[in-house]
Amino acid sequence: METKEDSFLVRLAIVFYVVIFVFLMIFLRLVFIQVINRNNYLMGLSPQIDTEYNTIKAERGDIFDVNGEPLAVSSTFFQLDVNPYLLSASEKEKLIKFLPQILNTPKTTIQQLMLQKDYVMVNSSLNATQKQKIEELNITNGISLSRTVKRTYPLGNKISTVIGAVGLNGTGLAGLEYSLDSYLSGKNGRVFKDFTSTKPLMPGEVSFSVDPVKGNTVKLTIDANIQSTIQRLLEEKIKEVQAKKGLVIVMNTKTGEILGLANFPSYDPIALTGFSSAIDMAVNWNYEPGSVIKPIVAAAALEAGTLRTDEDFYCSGSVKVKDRVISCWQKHGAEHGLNTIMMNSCDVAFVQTGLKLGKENLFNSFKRFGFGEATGIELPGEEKGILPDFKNIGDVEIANMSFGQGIAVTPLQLISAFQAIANKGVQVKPTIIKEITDASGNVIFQSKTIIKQAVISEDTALKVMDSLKAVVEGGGVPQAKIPGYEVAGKTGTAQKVLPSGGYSNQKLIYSFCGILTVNDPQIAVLIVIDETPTPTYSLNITAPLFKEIGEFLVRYLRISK
Amino acid sequence: MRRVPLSAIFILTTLSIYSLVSLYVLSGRIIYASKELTYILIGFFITYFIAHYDFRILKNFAFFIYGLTVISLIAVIVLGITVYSSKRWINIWDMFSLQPSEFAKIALIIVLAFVFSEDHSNNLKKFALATLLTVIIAGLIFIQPDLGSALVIGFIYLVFVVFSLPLKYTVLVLSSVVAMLPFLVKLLKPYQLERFLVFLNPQRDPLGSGYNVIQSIIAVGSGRLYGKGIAGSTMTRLNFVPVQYSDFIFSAIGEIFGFVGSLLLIVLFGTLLFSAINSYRSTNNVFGRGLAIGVFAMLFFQVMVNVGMCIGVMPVTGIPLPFVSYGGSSTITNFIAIGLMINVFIYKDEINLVI
Repeated sequence: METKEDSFLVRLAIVFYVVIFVFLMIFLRLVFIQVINRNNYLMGLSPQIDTEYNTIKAERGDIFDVNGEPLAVSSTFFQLDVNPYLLSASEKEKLIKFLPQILNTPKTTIQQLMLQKDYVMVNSSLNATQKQKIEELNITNGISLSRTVKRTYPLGNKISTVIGAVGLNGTGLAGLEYSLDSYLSGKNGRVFKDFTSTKPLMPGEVSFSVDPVKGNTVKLTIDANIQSTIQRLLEEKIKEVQAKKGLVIVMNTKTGEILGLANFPSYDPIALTGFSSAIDMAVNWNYEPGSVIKPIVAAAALEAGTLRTDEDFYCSGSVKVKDRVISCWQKHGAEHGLNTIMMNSCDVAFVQTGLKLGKENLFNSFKRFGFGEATGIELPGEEKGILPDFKNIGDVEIANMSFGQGIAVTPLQLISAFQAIANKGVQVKPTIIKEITDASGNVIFQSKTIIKQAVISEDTALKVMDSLKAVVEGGGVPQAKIPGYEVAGKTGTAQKVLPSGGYSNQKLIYSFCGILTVNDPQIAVLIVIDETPTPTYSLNITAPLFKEIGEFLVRYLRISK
Repeated sequence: MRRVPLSAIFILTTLSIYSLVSLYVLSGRIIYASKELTYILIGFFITYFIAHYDFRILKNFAFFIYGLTVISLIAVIVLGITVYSSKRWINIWDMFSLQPSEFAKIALIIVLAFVFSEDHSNNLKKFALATLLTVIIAGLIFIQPDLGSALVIGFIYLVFVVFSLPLKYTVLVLSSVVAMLPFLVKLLKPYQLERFLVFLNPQRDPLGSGYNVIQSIIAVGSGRLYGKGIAGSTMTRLNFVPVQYSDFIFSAIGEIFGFVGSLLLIVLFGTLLFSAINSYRSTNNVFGRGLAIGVFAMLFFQVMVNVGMCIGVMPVTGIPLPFVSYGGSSTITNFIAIGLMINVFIYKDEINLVI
């Protein structure tokens, strides 16, 4: 029988073997990493544990307009830093003598800098020739020239709300710089400085480097000339009427390409002054459009067969829907035909049209025209607009929506709806990017016209176009007339919603959407002006601006009569 | 004096030389080495002192020492100094700081040896009391947090159970640890868990949590067969390995002394452990056996984990290498332990109070 003592001796033996095993394991491991396999094994570890690598920043890709004019470009500059503390007296003299010539700065500035005791930045945007001239001064100590990449925006604040800006770390903050950041940023290069097991003594030796790859080049559908002009005209108009903000969109109705997109206010893309208050109203802003929606309502009613172009209406100045009385802006009396009610922009007639059309048809048409849904343009943060909940729509809501209240759209959605009417009922996806090419010139994206759907029949589209022509040419909005051309368009004067509920009679948003030309529709122009000090009608504000822009466009784009 | 074995003096002296040389190399100054030398000299004195008084006296003080330890561990939590976000030290009159968790190991060895040597008690009672005493100390250390020392405490307890009780108690302890594993993992701090994950895959985060281990392995490997010597050990001198003076000192040894030197160090530790087992076998006194096996458990676990983590075969836990890592409390604790071990050996032939 096993004694107690024996059993403890067995345990002692087991522990002994455990100890032997552990020590053997340590021994073998030491043999492995110190004697036999050390090189292969340690080499495998070392490149990944390099304590240092320097990033070489990739140049950001450039953005051009449709004709190759630069809109946002990255250029290499050199930064000059000087440490007067390390300079000898003669070197300082030399710098004070030559730097003002090279940098084109006053002598006193340089003299002041020479009093500093530490590194000071003299200039951060030297070009290559200036850099070379400074190098020729032959000062080695206390002077430093380093490469910097800077983003420049030739059009400045004329297009900043669309292009956006980059932050200090070089990534996009807003606009296309933000939404296309992954395309523009490029690939940073690296210089690896590591030590390996064979040369652990020399940390910091460059083992290999990866060159940076410049970001892709983006070509927009924007035309810099159109952009500059509409921005200038918009700003002039806004100053003239003392409006709060405003927007102009110019779109090619056949392709959906945005040729110009002007916002006021805009901001300085370098200094970022005004950055927080400026938005791209085309996509980042919803509003109740007012009467400018009437062509869409008419198109829906024509399409559903509840409206004939020769229908008769009577406007007594107001109409009663349920318990609500809706007043027209003017008492129109007897009206004959679609063209007349469109020209008069008669609220009563459109309320009747809307009610006859019915909730389902109206709601579905709005959806088909793209309201309540993002258009999918490449701009960031696109709003969807606001359609009321279908089950909450009653007769009062139908009546309101028929003249553009109780529904919110983005300006881009609105011009996109007009685009469909101008394009024989076929809606295409709006786009602002023409082409993206990579650093070696290969095209990686080419814009194509994407047909969304035929929203209405060609026949309906032509009938609505005819009524829009009547608005301008028939004497409704003579201010929008462009001499020598036949154009179509529709105004809208919308009451702003008060924060307390209800609508304001003082604060108005003025819209005009026009189409060039009636015979061969090519261009749609949407103008939105937000709030003037004294209320007026849109035809007094937006229509003259449309005329100015239209006159420029027909000349610039050589649109045939 | 004459009865202290010469071999022990030889081993301790050689280990001290390893310690002093690597501390000198890694700091480039004499200050760490000279402080450590003071601790070592105090340590030798303590070893001689302890070796000369019959260990049986300690039986009378076992619970007193244990109580003192618990109080000092509580004091650490209340008044402790925070270093690397752990509270492990207490200041004594602003002169020096003590790390009670080190001395707690000795206190536990003495109190467990005492508990298991009590005659008028059954196994279950012994087991329950020992478990309670261990859990209190381990818990107080764990919340500092000092996972490494808590693990040492746990290992000492386990070895006591293996050697002092029937085998079923060992099975009970191990199976309850396995059963509580999910709960214990939750107690761990994120960085402690991360260290374990890094152990499984050192490339998991080579510049972050895996950095120490990878640098340590490279340093050891760069020592090759004969080491790079005092002047040539650049990784150690340039501080490539963090906290090399304490937890990662073996990587300095590997670089300075190479394979041959590292192997000698391992052999010295092996001999020391063998002497502990020898002390155990030499006496029939249950209390003395307990002291010897406790010292064995403490040294074995620390050597295994510390060397293991420096060469990447154990997860990183802050456990110093006995006699080599820098630190007064840990060095003196180890000398006390060796003193006890020698004492048990010297007094093995005295009358046994217990069969």
